[in-house]
This record gives sequence, structure tokens and C-alpha cells, in this order.
Amino acid sequence: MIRLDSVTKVYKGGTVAARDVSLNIRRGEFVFLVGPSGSGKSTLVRLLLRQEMVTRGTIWVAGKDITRLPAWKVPYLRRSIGTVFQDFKLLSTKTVSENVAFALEVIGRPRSAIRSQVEQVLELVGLEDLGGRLPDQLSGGEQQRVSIARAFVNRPLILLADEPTGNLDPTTSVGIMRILDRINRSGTTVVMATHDHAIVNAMRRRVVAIDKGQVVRDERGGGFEKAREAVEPNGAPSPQQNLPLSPDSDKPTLPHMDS
Amino acid sequence: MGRMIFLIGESLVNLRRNALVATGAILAVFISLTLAFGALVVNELLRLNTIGWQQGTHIIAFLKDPDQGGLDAASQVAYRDEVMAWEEVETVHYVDKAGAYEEFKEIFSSRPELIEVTDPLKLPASLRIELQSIDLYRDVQFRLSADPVVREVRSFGEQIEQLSTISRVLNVLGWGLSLVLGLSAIILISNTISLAIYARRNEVSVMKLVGASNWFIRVPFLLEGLIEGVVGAVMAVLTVWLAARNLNSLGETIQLITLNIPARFFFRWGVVLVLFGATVGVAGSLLGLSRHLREVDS
Ligand SMILES: Nc1ncnc2c1ncn2[C@@H]1O[C@H](COP(=O)(O)OP(=O)(O)O)[C@@H](O)[C@H]1O
Ligand SMILES: [Mg+2]
Repeated sequence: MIRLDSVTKVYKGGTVAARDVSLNIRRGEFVFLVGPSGSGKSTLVRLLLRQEMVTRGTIWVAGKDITRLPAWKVPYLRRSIGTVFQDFKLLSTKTVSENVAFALEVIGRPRSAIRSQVEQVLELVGLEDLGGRLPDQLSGGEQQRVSIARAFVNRPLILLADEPTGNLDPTTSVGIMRILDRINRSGTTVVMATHDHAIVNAMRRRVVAIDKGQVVRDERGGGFEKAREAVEPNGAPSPQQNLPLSPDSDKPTLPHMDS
Repeated sequence: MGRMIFLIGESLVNLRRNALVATGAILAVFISLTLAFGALVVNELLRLNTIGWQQGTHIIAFLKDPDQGGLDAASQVAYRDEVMAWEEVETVHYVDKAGAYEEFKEIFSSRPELIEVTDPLKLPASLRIELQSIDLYRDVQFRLSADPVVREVRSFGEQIEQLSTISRVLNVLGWGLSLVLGLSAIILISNTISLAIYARRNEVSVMKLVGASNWFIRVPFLLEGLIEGVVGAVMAVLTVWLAARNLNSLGETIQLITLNIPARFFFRWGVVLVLFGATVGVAGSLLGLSRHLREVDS
């Protein structure tokens, strides 16, 4: 679904934010990008969205070499990728429903289809009763759920989340991770950049660790830190593991997932 | 269809949000096109009143009709060739009686009553003479006046010189000012677009993120500029048209010159100017978009 081949990104000014990164992410995977601040996680996210161009290397998304995509086709790439950010990026003058509907309106979806899709996705993120509220009448967690609803309403192949829990307290973060997990179970490939140890350790999904722009570890079912936790007997009874997050604790099914 | 309504709605929201700057841009288009259109109208008035001169005629010799002791039509043509052979004369154009009546009708197209009472046969044939140099008009005029087949000679030497100076100055002023103002209108419109982009940077950023096509993002801004340009142009056309109509009613009292410009002229140039206003609006928008849309991060 996503393949990076020796990708290097050098910003103007000389910062090397990605250094010879090669990665292969298959359809339906859930991948954490972890690493200290400034290690280059957001840069990878921006490269996947074609907000930045690679300096060297190739990126394939859904079988297409996006480093060669002409500028006018970039919007179509983005329609197949949902994005969630730390700062939500909601429009403060629009209600919850309008914010979500906006994502469909601006790609020219017919009005009739929009209404039902918005209802469905708000139900999915548990905001079916708050559709008429404005963003500043919501808690941070609720705002992030709106932003996830907007990212997912078009049923993208891929969901990119850059520090989606960065502004949220741990309990609220759990709720967000449940939704991302649910979206992933519907078949959507999820890539999430984070430096939140607790979440990574609790989820036990594939972990790609980045440091100074380089991939330093790529581990299935990994934790935030290298090996240590992984080798503990029976999968580390760390406190984080008690969060009701592990893939088996919760097997919701998504409505209308046939698309 | 729904998409079009959405886009038009967005551009109207833009216009309302920066109403003051938008008004400035509209006024700039309005003033510049009013000046340009005014220059065109003055030009047309001069043309209508000086049709003979504008074609390079410096002297008109009206010829006697045969029953007044003049030449018949065939001999008049031969006479034209004779005059053409004069050294000072560049060229001579012969207008027969029918041609004279046609010209009369054009000049006084706004005064049907005048045309009605005029007998087509009374208008004389004439020679329209263009000189090698305008300075030579006295000699030629003198020689023609002495010829018995000529009824009357009119020379426009001085008037031509004065009028062509006035019309040149008016034209340069009108077009120059409207060019300068037209350019500033483009810049003002591009500023309203920049402001609109700034006011809507969050929306634009989200649109880019969720994959709105480039044209979808641009169209509301282009429409905004287009509306500003067209509104300014329509105001200019209406203003000049109303002014010319008032001028026309004034002209009724002045004999022999016409201040009436046919509606056809206004319609043709009105359409041209509105299209021009639309172009100015779109050009301003494109300028604003090219300067600022990229800066909105996505
Ligand atoms: N637009 C930019 N121009 C120049 N340098 C940048 C830019 N964006 C990020 N960087 C630099 O690239 C490195 C990686 O940044 P980033 O990808 O944001 O890391 P992370 O998301 O892991 O915190 C940092 O050193 C940062 O300063
Ligand atoms: Mg980051």
C-alpha cells in the first residue's frame, strides 16, 4: 500500500530530515512511527501527502509513484489519504456536521450522498448527538474525533495521523486510539506518528522507530523502547497494558464497511 | 449545479467579508472604464460631426447642378481627374448626389425630421480634396472658387488643425488615465483576493488537505474578482450612457452639430467594456492567487 525506497529529504538550509528511509507498509497494517521530537516523523507524513517533495528516492502509494505525480493530480492522491493532526484543524465557524460535510463538498460529492455519509461517520466516532455544535463547544477529545470523522468520511485507503493524541490527556487518548483501531479493522491502513510511550506499548502493533531521519528499528508487535519490554515474559505487564486497548479487548464492527 | 451554487455562495461570502476593499476595487474599475468610455464617446462625437474631415478631406468643392450651369455627372468625374492632376493635390474623391444624401442621413440619423424635409435632389455633388500638405489650402481654395462650375468651396485647414490637436490630447489623456487606473484596478482587485485568501486560509488549508482540486479552490476567488470587474464596468457603461443622453437633450438646441450617439454604439462598446471589466477582474484574481495561494500551507 505504501512503499518508500531509499527516501532522503533535505530541507532548504541543509537539515536532513529523512536519510535513506526504506519501508514497506501493506494494506490493512497499523504502523506507529516513533522517535524523539525532531527525528523526522512529520516529514515522512508530509512526504506521503506530497506536501513536501523527496530530495532522493521513490514513494509508492497504492501502486503509484507519487514523487512523479503532476501537481494537478496531487488532490486525487489526497482523496485516498485521510489525515489527522495534533491541532485538529477544524473550521471554527462551521458546526461539527458542517466540518465533516465540508470535506465531501469540496471534492464535489452530491449533496444527497453527503448527508447520510456524515451521519454514518459521526456515529462511528460517537458524536451523533453533537452534530450541531461548534468546535469551541467541544472538549479536545471530541474535537479530535470530529477531525477523525472528517478524515474518514470519504472512506480513504490510508489514514495518516501525526501526533493525534499530542494535545490530549491519557484517558481521552484511549478513546481516540479505540476509534483509530476500529478504522484499521475496517481494512484501512493506519500510519500514526507519536511519541506517546503508553499508547505504543499498549497497542502492540508494528513500530518503526526513527532517529535523526533514519529508521533505527522496525518491529512487529513492538513497544516504544527497544527490545527491553519485548523480551519480558508474556508480553510485559507494564501498567500501560491495562488500558483497554489491546486488539483483542474490543472487536467492534464498523457499519457500512463494504465500500 | 449544486457545486456551482456552493462556489458562488463562497465568493459572495468573500465579498461581504472585505466589503471595503472590494468597494475600492470596484470604484477603480468604474472610474477607469468611465474615462475610457468617455474618451470613446467624445471621439465618436467628433467623428460624427467631422465625417468629411476625418477621411483626410481638406477642401470640399460643391459642384453646381447641370440646371444651374454646372457639369453633368460624367463631366464631373472628368473634372475630378483634372483637379487630381494639380500639383498640390494628393487625391480627389468624387461624391455624387446620391452619395451626398447617404452621408447626410448618417450625420443626422438622430434627426429624422430633418431628413424628412430634405429633398435628396437638392444636395450637391462634391469633390473631396486631400492636399499634399495642409498648408497649401489657400491657393487651391482660391483657384477652385474662381471656376464657374463650382458652387461653393469649403476649406477646413484651421479647424482640422485645431480639432485634431484637441482630439489627440483628449485621446491621450483619456486612454492614458484609463490605462493607469486600469492597472491600479488590477492591483486593487488582486489585493482584495489576497485578503480573501488570508481570511479563508484555514478553509483553503483544509480544502488542500482533503483533496479539493486546484480549480475548485480557485474558482470562488476568481468569481470574486470577476464580480468586482463586471460590476465596475456595468456602472461605467450606465454612467456614460446616462451622461450622453443628457448631453443629447442639450444638443437639440444647438443647430448643425449632433450630440446624439446611436444606441448601437453604446450597445457594442458596452458589451466590449463589460468583457474588458471581466478580464481585468480575472487578471487581478489570478495575480492575487499566484502571489498568495501557495503560501497557505496544506
Ligand atoms: N519546513 C522545514 N524547513 C526546514 N527544516 C525543517 C522543516 N520542517 C522540519 N524541519 C526540520 O527537520 C527535522 C525533522 O522535523 P520533523 O519531521 O518535524 O520531526 P518530528 O515530527 O519527528 O518532530 C527537524 O530538525 C526540523 O527542524
Ligand atoms: Mg512532528
